[in-house]
Formats: sequence, C-alpha cells, structure tokens
Amino acid sequence: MGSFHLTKMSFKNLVKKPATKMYPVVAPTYTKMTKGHIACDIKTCILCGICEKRCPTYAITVNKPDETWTINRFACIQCYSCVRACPKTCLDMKPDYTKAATEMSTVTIKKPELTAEEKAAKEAAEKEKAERIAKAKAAKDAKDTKAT
Amino acid sequence: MGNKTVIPFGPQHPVLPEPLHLDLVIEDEKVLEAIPQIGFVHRGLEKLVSKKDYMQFVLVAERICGICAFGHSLGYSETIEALMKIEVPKRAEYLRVIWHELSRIHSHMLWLGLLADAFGYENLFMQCWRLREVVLDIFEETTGGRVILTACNVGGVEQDIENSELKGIVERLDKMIVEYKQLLKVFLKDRSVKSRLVGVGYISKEDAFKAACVGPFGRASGLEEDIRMFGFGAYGDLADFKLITSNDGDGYARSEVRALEIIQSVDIIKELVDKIPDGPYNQKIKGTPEAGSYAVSRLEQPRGECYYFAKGNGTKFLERFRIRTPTSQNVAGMVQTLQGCDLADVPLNVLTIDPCISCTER
Amino acid sequence: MINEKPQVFIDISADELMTKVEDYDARGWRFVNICGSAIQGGVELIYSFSNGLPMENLRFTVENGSTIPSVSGRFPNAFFFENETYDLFGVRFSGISIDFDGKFYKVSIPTPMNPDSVQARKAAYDSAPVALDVAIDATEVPIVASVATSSDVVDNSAPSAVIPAQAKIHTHDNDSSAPSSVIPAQAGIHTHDNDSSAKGDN
Repeated sequence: MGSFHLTKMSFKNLVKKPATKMYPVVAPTYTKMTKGHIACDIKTCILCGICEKRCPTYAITVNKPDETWTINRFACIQCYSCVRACPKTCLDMKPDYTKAATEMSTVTIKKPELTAEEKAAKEAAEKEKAERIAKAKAAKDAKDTKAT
Repeated sequence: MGNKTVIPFGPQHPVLPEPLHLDLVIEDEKVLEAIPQIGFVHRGLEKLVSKKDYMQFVLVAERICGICAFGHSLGYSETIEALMKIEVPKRAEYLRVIWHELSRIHSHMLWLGLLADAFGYENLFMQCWRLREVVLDIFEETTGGRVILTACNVGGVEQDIENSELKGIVERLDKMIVEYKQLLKVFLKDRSVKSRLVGVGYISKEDAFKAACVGPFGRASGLEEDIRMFGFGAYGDLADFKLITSNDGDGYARSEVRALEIIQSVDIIKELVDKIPDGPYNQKIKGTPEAGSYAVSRLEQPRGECYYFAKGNGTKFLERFRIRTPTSQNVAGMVQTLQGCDLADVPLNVLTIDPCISCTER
Repeated sequence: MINEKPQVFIDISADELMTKVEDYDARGWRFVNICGSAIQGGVELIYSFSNGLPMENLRFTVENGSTIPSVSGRFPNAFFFENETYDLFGVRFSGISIDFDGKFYKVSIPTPMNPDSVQARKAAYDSAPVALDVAIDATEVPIVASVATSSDVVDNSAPSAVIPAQAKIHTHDNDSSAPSSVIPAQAGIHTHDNDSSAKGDN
C-alpha cells in the first residue's frame, strides 16, 4: 500500500513522553564539554594580558594598575582561545550559558587583597630570595679576587 | 495566449529556506523564465583576512554558514596546509573525516525535514528533526557546540575523542538508522509524496553537465563526480567508495540520492572507527605563508564541491582567500529547471538544489 | 592515499584567454571558478577548470578600467562569478548572459576589494568636497555611458527579448538606487538560445 507508513511511529509517539523539554521550567542538561561561559580564577591570575591579545572579538580587558579582569559576556563567542593561551591556566570554560538580558553589561573581577599570612609569606619569600642573590654575588666576588 | 505577468518571489517567503529573490515570468500558472537575484546577506567576510591572522581566520570561516560550518573550517585548514606544506597527523585526519561525515548526516536530515515541510507533511518534518538531535548531541559531547564546533584548526584538530567514546557513538548512530529507515520508506514509497516529487524539475544529463551542476543535484541527473572518490585524506583508506547516482534527474531522484547518502555516511564512520590509528592529534605551527605562494583545494560538502583558494604575501595575514560554494554553481541549473514548471512547484524546485545562500555570498 | 592536491598554475596573457577557454570547452572540461585579487594598478584573475581529479588554473593580470570578454556563452554558470568580480573588483566583462550591471551584491561603496579601481576613484572624486590630488585618466569610460552601450548591444544581437512587450510588471519602481529594483528594466539579458519558451511570440 502506498500510504500509512508512519503508523507504527505515530502510535509509539502517542504513548512515549515528549521529546522536547519545558525549558526554562525544566533545567537544561549540559555535557561537561559544552562551551558556555568563561570563568576566571583571579587568585592565580598574574594579569599578563595574553588573553586580551588573543581574544578575536576583544571581549576581555585586563587592567594591571587597577588589578581587574573584565569580560563582556555578550561579545564572547566561546572560541576557547583564551583558555588555551593562558600561561597559568586560570581561565576555564563552564557549561552553562549566559542568560538573555535587556541591557549589555560587563563583568569585572578584582584581585582580592592579600590576607595577613599571605602578606607575611610573600615578604618572607622575597627576603629569602634577596639573601640568596647576595650570597651568590659574594661567592662570585670571592672567586674573582682569588683568580686575579 | 494569456497575459504574461512578472511575480516577485522572495527573499522573505514562508517556504523559502534562504533569502533568494526570483522574478518569475508566468503565463497562466506556468513559469516561462526565472531571473535570480541574491545579495541580501553579503557580509564581506573575505575582506576580513586583512584583519585576522591566518590562525584566527578559522573562527571566521566557520561562522560563514550554520549548516556547513565544519566543512568550511576543514576546507580552510586544508588550503593553508597546502599553502605552507604542513603534514597533518593521521589520527587528526581520521577525526576530521568522522566529524565531516556527521556534519553531512545532520545537513541531509535538515534538508529532508524542510522538503517534507515544503509539500505540507509536517509530521515527517518533525520526525526528521527529532532524529537529527542524536547527531547534534554527539557534536555537543565531543566538541562542546551543537552547530559551530570549533574543532578544526590549521595542523590538526582541537580536541581528541577517546576510542571508547567512538564506539558509543557508533552504537547510537546504529539505533538512529533503524528508526530512520522507517522514514526512508515514507520518502521513497509513499503515494502522496511521490505525486509531488516525480517528474518535477527535470534536467537532463547534458544540460546538467553544461550548467556544471555539482553535488547531489548533479548526481541525480547521472553525472559521476564526487571529490570523496579521489581519496584525499582519510577517504583514501576506505575499502571502497561507491557513488550514489540516479538517472531520473527529477525531484524524486534528488531526494533519493540525499536520503541514501545518510546511510552511506554511517557506514563510512563505522569503517573509520575500526581503523583509526593512535597518535598525536595536533601540532604547533610556526612561520607564515611565503610571499607569492598560491594554493587551491577542493572538498565535498553536503551540497556539492566546494573550492578554496589562498594566496600568501609573506606576513601573517593572507593576501586573498576565496571560497566558491556549490550553490553558486547550481543556480544556473536551478534557473533551467524552473523553466516550464507550475507555479506551485517553484518552492520545491528551489529547495531541491539545497540552497545555502549565506555561504554563497559571504 | 593521496595527500597532495594537484596545484597547477599556468601563466598566460589576457589575449590568450578565449583560445584557452575554447580549448577546455572542446575537451569537455568543467568550469570551476573565477577569483580576483587586487594588486598594484590592476587585478590578478585566476580561472580554474577541472576534469575529475586534474585541475588547472590560468593566471593573468588586467589593468584597472579594462574590459575582457565573457565566457558565459560557453559556460553558463560563469555569469555568477563575472558579476561578482565586477562588483567587488571593477573588472568589466562584455556580453554576460545575465548582466546585473554592478548591482549583484548591493555593496555600499564601489569595488570594496580593489580601492584603486576606476569606479572607486570616481566615487571618491565625486563625493569629495575638495578636488583630490589623484588625477583621473580622461580616457577611462565613465559608468553611466557603459550602461548605454551594453543596452545597445542587447538590441542588436540578443536572439530573444528580455520581457515580452505585453508583460505587466507589478509594483516595481525603476529607480536605480532602490535596493529591490527590478533586474529586467536595467540589465541586458542575453539568453543564448537553449530554450525557446522565452520567445515573446504572443
């Protein structure tokens, strides 16, 4: 017969639950690789600005004197170039999408102030490095005077 | 001896998938002549090569068209590799072909759905697109995007697919094909579908050759041309590759060619997954194209043969990059099929060339 | 497994073009593409032909303001690329089968990919409030006159008319600057007779 080929599929679809989801009432399912939005771990960021140079749509702005990292989520095309280029791997792509909004806006993250222990640890590390350099320099001077 | 009228058709029309304008000269419901006009989505993307360097231009090339997105990034990468004489690792070539064949499946499913919608069978349209979601889910799990994949770059691919994941993909495609074969029966054997497609938009083999038709549109009229049979890249490792052609040259033959190519693509993917070698999938590219270097490349996209041309000038920006899409070749053939057809068959004739106007006028 | 795609580039001069094209047509090759690229003082054109796997590309240069013959009589699908090359680069082709006369792509500035072309310089000269230092050659044919000559060619040599005289044209205004202007009123359409249904016999 030249008709009624879809009866089996139609009956199955009558009893199965629908293939569509009632978004946004039901949350969407993303995979772990979905390219949603960029997240920055500002503590490890060294504000080098490489991500700003690699971004093809100029969505990222890095301000070193103010210690801020800004992204315009509506200009980002989720191309993954900044994540690949970051030398400290502090950028990451999270799976959920930016929600629609009525106005364009940017997101700015500022580097947090160092806590007291971190400041003390940083000063101790710098002091140790200065001592090491002075010791090496003294050893080199001693070798030079011995040679002459 | 009726009056002749000129009816404008498009660029906005409920049944037209792409913005194309036709001036139809009709007389008593029969079309005598059709004059095409395009230019509604020209974005000037070829001029962007002077602003984005050759590694970043892949992102622009991908976003030329939504349906053939992976195909354009693959063609661009292959052209630059020919220009700079770069050797691609084998695993990367296999992965590229697997993604390209998946892209072909999703494009043909989309087209089958649009065809069913054009002659009013909306239920079939929805079922085709429901099965297409299987392929889009595979894209999202392997690359992160449903339509714009960002998977191909100059020198290799961006990310890898594990071998276990590849086997899972093949199983899901097999399940999809079982359901798809029921839809195939409707497209090829249903009486109402046949009455809309058989004998509509006939073009003979000589006319198709003269108008240089490419892709499934040309293969449905008997031309035997397919870039995949030349064996570039991983296609050369296939055991054999049979062309799917037909000699009827009407709308029914074109639907048949495209509907059967989906099954052929799944077989190709299965064969390549069995044979895929291990190894690197990427490499670091240094240097720039030399001054005065030229390269051409061709690729078989879902719509036909796509031609790419690149010219370097010694800096990291290319001098010229050119894409010639299959739809620009098929427009001449479409104009010929429209001569003498009924007015109600005009949208079907326009659809059977599978127009993709956004890649035609970048 | 083949990885090397054939890259054959043949340098010819602009006069040899038609003989080479006729040779390819006689051998049954297929016409693939015309690609233009702006160089100093002119445009470099590349014509590509293919016959299965082998593909050959002819490469030659033309100067700004020159006219070359069209190949759309032998290869009907060439009309697309010739109209596009005229719109983007300013190279004039004589005798295209469907000639859109510069309105194929509806670009906002003339010949955007070749800023040195005749049309671009003329447009800049016309729109500048002060005379430019760039001298425009007096022997170049301005665009308005070339429309008239192409329509003369249509009347003399076209085998069948564009639109039959009794046709009623619905809601088209023949203003050349309107974006949706009707093509038949302005273009010269040479329908090389492969189809007799367009003859206005009634």
